[in-house]
Amino acid sequence: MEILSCKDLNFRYNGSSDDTLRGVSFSVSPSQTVLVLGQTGSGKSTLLRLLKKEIAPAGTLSGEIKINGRDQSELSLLESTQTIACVTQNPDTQTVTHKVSSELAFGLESLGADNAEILGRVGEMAAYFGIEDIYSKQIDELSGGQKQLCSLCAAVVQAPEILMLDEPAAQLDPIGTSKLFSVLKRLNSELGTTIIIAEHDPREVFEFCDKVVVLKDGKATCFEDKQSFVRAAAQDPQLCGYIPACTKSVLGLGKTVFTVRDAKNIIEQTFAPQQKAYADTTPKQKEKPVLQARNVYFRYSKAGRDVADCLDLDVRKGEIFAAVGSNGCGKTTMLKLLCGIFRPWQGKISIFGKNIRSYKGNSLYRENIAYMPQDPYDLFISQTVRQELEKTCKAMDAKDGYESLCEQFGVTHLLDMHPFDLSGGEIQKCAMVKLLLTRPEMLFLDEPSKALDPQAKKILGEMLKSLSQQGKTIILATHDLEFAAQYADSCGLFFDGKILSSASTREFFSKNRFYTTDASRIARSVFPGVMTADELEAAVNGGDKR
Amino acid sequence: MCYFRTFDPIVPMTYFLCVMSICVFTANPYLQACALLGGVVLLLCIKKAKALKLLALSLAVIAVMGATNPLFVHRGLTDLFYIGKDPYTLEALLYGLSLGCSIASLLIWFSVFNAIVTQDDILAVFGKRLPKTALVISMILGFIPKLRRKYTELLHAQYASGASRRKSLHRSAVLFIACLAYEAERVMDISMSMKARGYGLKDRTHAQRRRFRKSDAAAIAFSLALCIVCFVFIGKGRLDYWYYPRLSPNGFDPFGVGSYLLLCISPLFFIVKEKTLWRYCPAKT
Repeated sequence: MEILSCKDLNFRYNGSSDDTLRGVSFSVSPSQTVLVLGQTGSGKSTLLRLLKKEIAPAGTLSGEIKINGRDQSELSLLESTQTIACVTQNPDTQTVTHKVSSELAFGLESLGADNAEILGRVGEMAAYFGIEDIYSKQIDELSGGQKQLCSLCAAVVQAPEILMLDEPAAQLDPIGTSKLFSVLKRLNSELGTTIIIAEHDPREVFEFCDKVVVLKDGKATCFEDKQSFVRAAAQDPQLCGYIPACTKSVLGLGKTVFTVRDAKNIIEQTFAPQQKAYADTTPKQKEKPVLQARNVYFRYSKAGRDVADCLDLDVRKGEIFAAVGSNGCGKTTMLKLLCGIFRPWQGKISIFGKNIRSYKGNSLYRENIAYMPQDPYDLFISQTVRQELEKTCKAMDAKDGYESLCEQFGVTHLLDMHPFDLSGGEIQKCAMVKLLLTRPEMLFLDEPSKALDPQAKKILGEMLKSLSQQGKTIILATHDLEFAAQYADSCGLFFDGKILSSASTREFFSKNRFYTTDASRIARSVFPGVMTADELEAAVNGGDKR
Repeated sequence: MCYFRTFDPIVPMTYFLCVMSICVFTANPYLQACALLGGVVLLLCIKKAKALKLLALSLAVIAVMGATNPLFVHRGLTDLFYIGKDPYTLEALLYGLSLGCSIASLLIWFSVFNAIVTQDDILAVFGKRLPKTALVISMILGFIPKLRRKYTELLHAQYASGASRRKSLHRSAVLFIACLAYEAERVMDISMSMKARGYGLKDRTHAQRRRFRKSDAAAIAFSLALCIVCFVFIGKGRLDYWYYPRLSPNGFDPFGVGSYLLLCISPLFFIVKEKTLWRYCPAKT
């Protein structure tokens, strides 16, 4: 029997004139892992929330949702809590209390369990997932990955049969993501928990998922296994971005694999190693550096450690430079240092050949540099996007206004909306418009590709490329290696307070063994120099077979 | 200060309540001396060199209160000297010093209290009886750092998008409102997370990581007993003391003052015990 089934689900938000979901039907067997894919705004979150009636959005719903063969509405709050648990995207907004220990106990406290039972179950679970080290900590001290792990544990402690996750890894770095998914995998394989997961970057889920549901314009297409999904997605340019690099690489050979290991083996068996390394066709002109950092030291408090520790960096005009590194290593701090928000206690940073300290007042942030924070919503504190842009124009004494820029970025229709109502991709574009209104020559972007779906990522990447062609210099900090490989001109690894092994992007990814893209790992023995999935696909299609 | 950790948090809380309830209201110099002595010794034991700043401040408070009181109050019969036509009296000087001691000992005891009783202890004490209130407190404690971080982020974003760096009330207000709006938006998600985990079922409980033991009860009884003895003596007037017009000849009751002294320095017993135990502890090597 199915543990969960939906039939002909139609849903319309209150006040909306369009249906968000149209005739969605699918079913889930016990212990299955179901992957839900779809662009931002395709109704993934809506669908997931509808499955748990306590958190269902307000609107009109028709069709039936059955859980364990019973209609959803028949379940009491207690039963529902013990059947379905839910983890959402932002770890900051799921934690209710201020400590990990009380957060883990929260669910059981709600159920009215007694003290001994709560402590016993929480302790068992913390030990099972190996989070004893954070058990006594304050939530505020945790990294994003730890917070998300904590909310996952808090959801699982009630021993639910079904676990729903809405883009759980959107805010996490690769290491946090791997940890989270390995816990999910264990839950599924060792306890048989049914998992329904919506993801933008499903690379790690593909390995263990059983079923794929694709949402598009509110309609669902259900693939009973991942192979059939891959076959269908290969034909569809919109779904193509969801296929992981390892699968994509050997698809041209008529094979379907889901791990780097298998793809690597197939390619090594099929092709003879090529002598000539893949190289960039048009190497960039070497310009003189416009951003220079020398011996920069920075720490947050007198007694703390140096987050920037003898940092040296050169970035040339018109270059896209990507600083990669794991979360919490200080990439954001480095960006804030380089763009003058923080002052180093030692060392010198010069921008366009002039010491950053000698820019008086706001002159640095007007017509020189601009900074996009990790959360682009932070740039918008007015009621509508238009008001915010008008304010910036006024501050800049701009005469030509913002309309032409908005048109160029295709955000004109968003101008009268509240910034919080925009999706991740939309706010990113609006933020870019706002920054460009200050006419910067150098842009600092903090994790620009975070929480974007593959299409939005592509649009962002193209946008950055065209800005760099206009001669603007772009410095970005990211943990998204695929994005850096595709769009950056040069990369550096930020570690131990400094930029290590700064090189052209191709050199950087070809040289790295661990900190590199999947495509590069698969291809390096046969097609040296290949670093993106598209390049690998092209190489496979044009390569000499053995 | 590990030893307080071995007690239920209600023990230190009761203890501090007992000590402070007396030292705040009394003008008796003997009791004040006890409170000051106990507080200073405890503070030095807990904070070591870091306590010196507060001690210097306390000394300054006592000196200033002592020196200035006679400038405004001219009661008392022992004139030391005259400022203009007004006498500067010994009694007023001593009364000022006594007031200063009250304030200083309060400062010192609060500092000790803060070092020992954490937010979580307060929460644990309330949580047992009032689980919902405990949850609200815990949520607020979690909310404050989030709000603070958001404020900094917004401020940095504003700097770097061309806004002025000048501090102004207007800017703070705008940013603060934006923070609140942002958090209000996020509160929706939090409430979803709460509902998803069964919040709203009746009979909510509160998990306690520690159980109340006999030793806790004994420690509370000890503090309360000494405190009550003091109050009895105060009620009987055996510990009354006055400064005007002449210094009071009595106010020193050995039993009353002794029990307060014992109360104030009783934590020393545990500190010494802990040091000794640790000294001969096999884990040390």
